[in-house]
Amino acid sequence: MLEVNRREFLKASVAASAAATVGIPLSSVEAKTVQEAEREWQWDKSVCRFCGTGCGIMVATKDGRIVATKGDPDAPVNRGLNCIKGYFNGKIQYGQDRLTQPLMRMKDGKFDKNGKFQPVSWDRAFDEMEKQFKKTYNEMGPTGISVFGSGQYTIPEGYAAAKLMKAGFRSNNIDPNARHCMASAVVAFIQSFGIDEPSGNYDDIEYTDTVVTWGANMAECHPILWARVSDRKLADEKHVKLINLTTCSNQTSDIADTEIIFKPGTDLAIWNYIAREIVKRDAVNHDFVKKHCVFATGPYDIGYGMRPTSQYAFNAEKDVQAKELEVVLDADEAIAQRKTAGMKVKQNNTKKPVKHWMITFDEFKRGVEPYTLDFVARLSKGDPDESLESHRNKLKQLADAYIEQNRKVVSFWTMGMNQHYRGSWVNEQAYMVHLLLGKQAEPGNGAFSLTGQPSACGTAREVGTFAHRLPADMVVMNPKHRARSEKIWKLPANTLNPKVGTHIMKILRSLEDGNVKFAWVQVNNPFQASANANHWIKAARKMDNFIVCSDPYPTVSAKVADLILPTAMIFEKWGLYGNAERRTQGWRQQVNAPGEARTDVWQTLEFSKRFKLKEVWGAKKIPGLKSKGFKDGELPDVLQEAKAMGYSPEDTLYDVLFATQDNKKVAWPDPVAKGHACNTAEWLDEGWFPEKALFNEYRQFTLNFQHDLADFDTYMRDDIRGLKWPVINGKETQWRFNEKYDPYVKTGSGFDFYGKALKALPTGDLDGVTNKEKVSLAHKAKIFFRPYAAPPEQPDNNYDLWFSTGRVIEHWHTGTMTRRVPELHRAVPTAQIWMHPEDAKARDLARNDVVWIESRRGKIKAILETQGRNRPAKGYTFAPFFDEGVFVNKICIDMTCPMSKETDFKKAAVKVYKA
Amino acid sequence: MNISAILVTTSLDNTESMINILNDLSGLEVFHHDNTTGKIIVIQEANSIQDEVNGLKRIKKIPGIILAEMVQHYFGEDTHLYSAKDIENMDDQCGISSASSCIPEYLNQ
Repeated sequence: MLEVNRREFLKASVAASAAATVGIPLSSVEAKTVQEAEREWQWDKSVCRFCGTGCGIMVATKDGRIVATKGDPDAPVNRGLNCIKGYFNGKIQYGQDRLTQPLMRMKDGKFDKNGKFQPVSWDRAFDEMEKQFKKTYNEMGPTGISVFGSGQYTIPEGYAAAKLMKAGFRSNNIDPNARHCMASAVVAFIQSFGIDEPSGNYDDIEYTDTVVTWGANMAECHPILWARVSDRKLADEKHVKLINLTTCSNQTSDIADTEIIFKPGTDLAIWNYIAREIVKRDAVNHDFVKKHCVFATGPYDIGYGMRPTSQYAFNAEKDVQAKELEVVLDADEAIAQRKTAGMKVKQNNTKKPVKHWMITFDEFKRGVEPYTLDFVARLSKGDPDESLESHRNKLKQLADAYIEQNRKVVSFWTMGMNQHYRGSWVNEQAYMVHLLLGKQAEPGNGAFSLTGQPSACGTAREVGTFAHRLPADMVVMNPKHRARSEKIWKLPANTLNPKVGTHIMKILRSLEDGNVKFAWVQVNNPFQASANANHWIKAARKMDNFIVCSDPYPTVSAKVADLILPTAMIFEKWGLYGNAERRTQGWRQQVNAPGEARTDVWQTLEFSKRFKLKEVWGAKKIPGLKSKGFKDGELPDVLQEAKAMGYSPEDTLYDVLFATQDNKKVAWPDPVAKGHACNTAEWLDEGWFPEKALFNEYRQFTLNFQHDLADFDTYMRDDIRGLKWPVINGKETQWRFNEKYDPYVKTGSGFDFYGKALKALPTGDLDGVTNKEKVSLAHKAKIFFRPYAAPPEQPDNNYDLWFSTGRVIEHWHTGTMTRRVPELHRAVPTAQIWMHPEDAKARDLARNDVVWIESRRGKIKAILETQGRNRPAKGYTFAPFFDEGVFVNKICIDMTCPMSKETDFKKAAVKVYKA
Repeated sequence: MNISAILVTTSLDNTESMINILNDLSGLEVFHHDNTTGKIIVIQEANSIQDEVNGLKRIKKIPGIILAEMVQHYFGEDTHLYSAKDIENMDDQCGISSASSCIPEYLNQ
């Protein structure tokens, strides 16, 4: 009886608490019920661990354990809601196979690459790691080592890792898994605006009249934002339009007014059709364009980001791989690029795909002229069962929605446009359309790349854990940026390496060809998450290399590693993430990590103690380095200058980079903790607060540099639910580049695209540069013309179906966390392949059959599904990648956008047959 | 015991009938609603949270439902969850002396 009463009491209190969360008024009695039930709980604000939406969640702890979570009613992003993954945040750290002790491959008491994993102490783990690192570093220099970084790093974690690699080891071979999810968005931001990150924010949803989704299944992959879109639609059902462009009918189509199924890769042509219509209907916002924009284009022959050699290719891969060197234009590409069908085009610009030049508006018009409705409708129609007339009408409705003068439009996209062999181009095309119309950077109008990971923006991009980046949008190639970084980091001049390091696919390829022999995997699972995985798993296990994997769970990457370091998870450490709308959000450590699991920050700092300056700051060979002020192929010895700065060659990297005098002044314990622990500080036991010190040091890069962040304590305040940077005088910036909202905008300009990167260009026509003299385009955005190009791998007589991969709502990426939550695991225990029922019938297959899916790169088994949430058109298949048992990346192609180096996971050709 | 609170949104003219439909479903109970916004708070209780997940899916399929998402989750008495990771006994589970228990079989397959 007592139990029943208690259950009823708990139910009433949870209901009342939830009602308050979503704004349903409570009586005083109901409010008291909540207080009573939660009397011993300690609630604290936090952030969801999963996608880039950046939902606020509240976490309740009792007796050192998490007992409840709820959507944060004060969080402007989610306003109290949770999606199903977010709902289970509290459980992800309690999986039964949580790693709690370092594990190393051993035989006869010694490390052995062919040995079995055995537990070792942290000291033993670091001893071997140091030995193996120094063996490679001394043999190959900074180019032989690497870090697989992450868009799931907290800001202090990513900052510590990047600083150790770039300032300490003088290596730029750190690159995040974020390369796989939004690098194309970054290239387009930098090329179009001269600065990374979006102008708008999520509030655009409530201000707009039209939401167009391009390659973004928001209903499953950004469900909370989709809930906001749904609310907007229902608030004004007749006027608000939703249009979903996709290659596979999905849940986002369910409430859309129009669903447009297009053939993979033809989004490039559809954007140009809209641009042509804008020009033909004289809908260009000439005043906006003249004041704030210029036109630009670049080379078409830029390859597909594959290896330029067949030396490492499987035999079946060689025909597609050869297109990296030369392609034969098909009839549609010939029209789209104003060339001749059958023409052989050598890919001469694979090494400089990002170069571009200014063109006139007349040249731009000439570029889009071939993209008529007739041509684009025929080219792009993706559903064989749909009539051409129907598809044509939908394209026209799409153009009408963008062009209608007083209609506000938001374009959202995710991996369909970013994971694309021309991802940077298609991102730039989105800005092309919005800028032509002047529908950008104002409430309800804008093109917006929805980010996939929780801190792909805040850490991977802004902190600069990419192979070419430094903090706050700076790059290693730029001498002024290096000098500014060296000043803030207190490094001797020319410590930083000016040569761009290896991007994430190249790290994997370098493990295969022996150019990288030490790799440290941090906060990601690259051996499951990277395409063409058979190559990289073999390279990890068979080549002479040493791979360390920091992980809370035994993942594919842990399994192929030589050393596994057990790692703390989100609520077991302090952290800050930066979401897709420039919002930086912080949280406190809520519970202790289990066993000997340690934070990533602690691991990086501890490892840095094992290196003296004399080992890393002497002269270092960098093959291929050519940069003004540097001897070819070499980084200088900076030890003398280091001495002049007061450093000793015997100082460790920990002393010089992390436990600096300034950082040690940031004391632990700290009142901001309000009684919460900081395991990193406690394990270091030196009286300083690493996460806070590192964040505040990083902040110095952002101030007065168009990226201003607030200080650490501000983000931890109970009345702050994140702030969108730039934060000026304590105030966040809602819409960038717009004088009404952005303090960086020149007074009186209205709009000001003030980003500084790539703002002087030569001029030319559609075919190339005609005048090399560079012209300044300061304060302006670029409207690019980019043509349609065909995917290099398409279905043929042998591999006769399109294959695409992505997510389902229940699982996050490779399932490392969500598959440990029994409820989510049981909800979708294994990945299925979706196929049109008639395609299944034609292959003598039935729903729930076990089938082989085979591509040029390998084959995997999966269960066939012909119903449910995904409804591919005939000729298409889809399977999610969360399940290591259905190892989808063994069949995906590792082609990338040549500019962003982001992999295209969406366009492989496969055959499917009964297993 | 797992208790979840689910926010259901429906059109304003549907709120009352939706409350009846939800209350008729097994394991569900409507606790709060707001006639001015169409928001309804439903409590779902289940021994297995898998049943809760299925329950949410069941709600989403009801005609007239605009939105159904979980808002709050209480699992403080999920003994299965905590028996998997008893922090006090961690040394016994994964100390060097009893090492084999902390190496997931998967890693050495």
